[in-house]
Amino acid sequence: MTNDSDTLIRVEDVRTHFFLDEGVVKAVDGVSFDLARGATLGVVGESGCGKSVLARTIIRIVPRPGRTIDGAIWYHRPSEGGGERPIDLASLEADGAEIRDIRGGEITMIFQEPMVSFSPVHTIGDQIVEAVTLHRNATREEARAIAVDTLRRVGIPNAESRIDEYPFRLSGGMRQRAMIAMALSSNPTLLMADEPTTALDVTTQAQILELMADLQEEFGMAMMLISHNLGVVAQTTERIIVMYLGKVVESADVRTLFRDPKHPYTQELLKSVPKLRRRRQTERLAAIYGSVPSPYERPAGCPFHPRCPQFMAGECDVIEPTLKAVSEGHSVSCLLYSEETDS
Amino acid sequence: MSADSSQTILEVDGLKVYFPIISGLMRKVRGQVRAVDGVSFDLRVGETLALVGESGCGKTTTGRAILQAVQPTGGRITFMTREGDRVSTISAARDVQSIIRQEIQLIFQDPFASLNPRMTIFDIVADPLMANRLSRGRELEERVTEMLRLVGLSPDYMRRYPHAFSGGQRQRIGIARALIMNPRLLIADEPVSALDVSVQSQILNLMQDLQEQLDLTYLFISHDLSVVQYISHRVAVMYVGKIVEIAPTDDIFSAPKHPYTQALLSSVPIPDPEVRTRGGALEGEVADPANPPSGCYFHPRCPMAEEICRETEPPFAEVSPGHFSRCHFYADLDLPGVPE
Repeated sequence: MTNDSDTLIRVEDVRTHFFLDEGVVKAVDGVSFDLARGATLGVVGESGCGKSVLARTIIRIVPRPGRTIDGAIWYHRPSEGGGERPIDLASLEADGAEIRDIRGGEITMIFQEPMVSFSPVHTIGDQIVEAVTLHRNATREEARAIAVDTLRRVGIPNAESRIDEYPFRLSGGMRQRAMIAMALSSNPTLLMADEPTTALDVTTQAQILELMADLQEEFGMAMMLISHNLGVVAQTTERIIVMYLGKVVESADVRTLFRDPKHPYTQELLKSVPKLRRRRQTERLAAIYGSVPSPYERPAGCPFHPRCPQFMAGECDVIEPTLKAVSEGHSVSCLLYSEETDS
Repeated sequence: MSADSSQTILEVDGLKVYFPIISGLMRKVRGQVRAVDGVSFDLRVGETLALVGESGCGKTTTGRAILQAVQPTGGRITFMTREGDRVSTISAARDVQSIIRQEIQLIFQDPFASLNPRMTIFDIVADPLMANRLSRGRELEERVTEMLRLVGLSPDYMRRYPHAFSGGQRQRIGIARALIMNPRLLIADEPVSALDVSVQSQILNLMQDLQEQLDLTYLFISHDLSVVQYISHRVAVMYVGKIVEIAPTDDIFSAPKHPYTQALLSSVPIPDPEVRTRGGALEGEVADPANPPSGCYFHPRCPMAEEICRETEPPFAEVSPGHFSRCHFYADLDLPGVPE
């Protein structure tokens, strides 16, 4: 557990909903978690669980017609005197001066597709230099030196000349390295990575994950890694939150989550991942019944109940469970565990 | 498994697919991308052979060449029809072509892009039969009903449009469309890559059930080794247009005989925080198939490369029965495979 002075971000009951003609999509619906300074957090879930919207909520770039309607995001912002000042990111103007100062500076984000995240008509260097001059008190010359240095640190060969290349000239892996360099160039306190390796080949993925782990150690920033790939989060993060239909269903440190998962969804998810073995497995793969429901037809009660093998009629389809601690640092949102903690 | 070694359904022999690089005002051919560069393998009735490799290795182009969606530059593809005739897919006469096109079908990767949003499920699944004027009316409807049931979908939904279905259901629709022609060989190109984990296993289980029920043969194209291990009897690993190793699945995963195969295995992030996968990362990047390196294409990235690897292309050597490797040092390699 983290004590208060270690906390970097405290997310409290955040709700981001999308107001569409067909209805309201509750993409993030009452999510709470803490992230300590320098810690790594994995956010896991299948498509539509709200993991990407959660990250976008934190830096206030939720696209319309989405709106963060409730909750607080306390960011313990380092102040110049050396102390820190908690500010609620959720209460800031989405395009106001303060969030623009934080976004891309203290809190940066890398996306899945590096080709889309870079501007195709500016060189890599110009884009990094712009970010640096905007967020660090640096002249263009200093910023360029910082950019070359960071490109070198993310393992781009001949950084002095590659800095003047356009994004399309780089391979997928190199582009993702350049994206990471841009996100690190402002010395962030938090780096959020949304499926950073999903578009890459396995050998490149391994390189990028290793690089991110090394840099996280070196720069000491906190990292929030969003992924559908349980292998990726198992290898790179210390704590994990599992999301399903906009809610956190389980939260634990990585070992506990993989050794002793409590929520039926986490258990089923872990079982359904085909694992690399030395011998071919002949038994059938475990599969979760059905599929993630449409966001407009969100089930009543526990959102997982129609697919849950431990469904309790009259309870799970009526009562909405809340996240409760089952042990130190391990919380589950499931009625199977609610009585033990209530009594 | 029902793999019968005596009965071959497809033979690919020295397949080459080159794409010209054209540039300039005079549209001169400046060079060639050797997407597939001498690929040979055979497929036995009822087995699943996986083609694995990273993007650009030629696995998809190999599948497309078998489907005659691209014209091969060289080599032979021989298909054994249901009637027992050996036919060349490249030079077959028109009537034979139509038989081949019925017996070899394709399952696509992206179930969101491969179904026409303006067609109902009935129209999508019935389309191959209607296009070939093989069935209509009552009979056609019964056939579609049967196919939907076979892939685990309710026929009640056949008048609906694809948008009403989830990713997994759409992939089932794609499989039903492929099966309605009563094929014997299915080319599945990354059939589960676009699906969520929980749905992915449903589709893999379905594909296995269908294989047993209908005696289907699969060419399973994928980059995901954990999926491949589950579904395939044999695995062929491709690198820059060539097969560098082919072997029964257990051999590939427990005793690989090519350093690239080992690198792929070590790169997969293991979903277990107590087993560290770090340290297996390869240096450098996949070679450019328009300008491949000398000797062994893998030598610039290979941790074991020696002088001979820079100079001479290694032969495709038989390590043990059915296990081939394109590495000079195959006999001396003691690679760990997947960690215990």
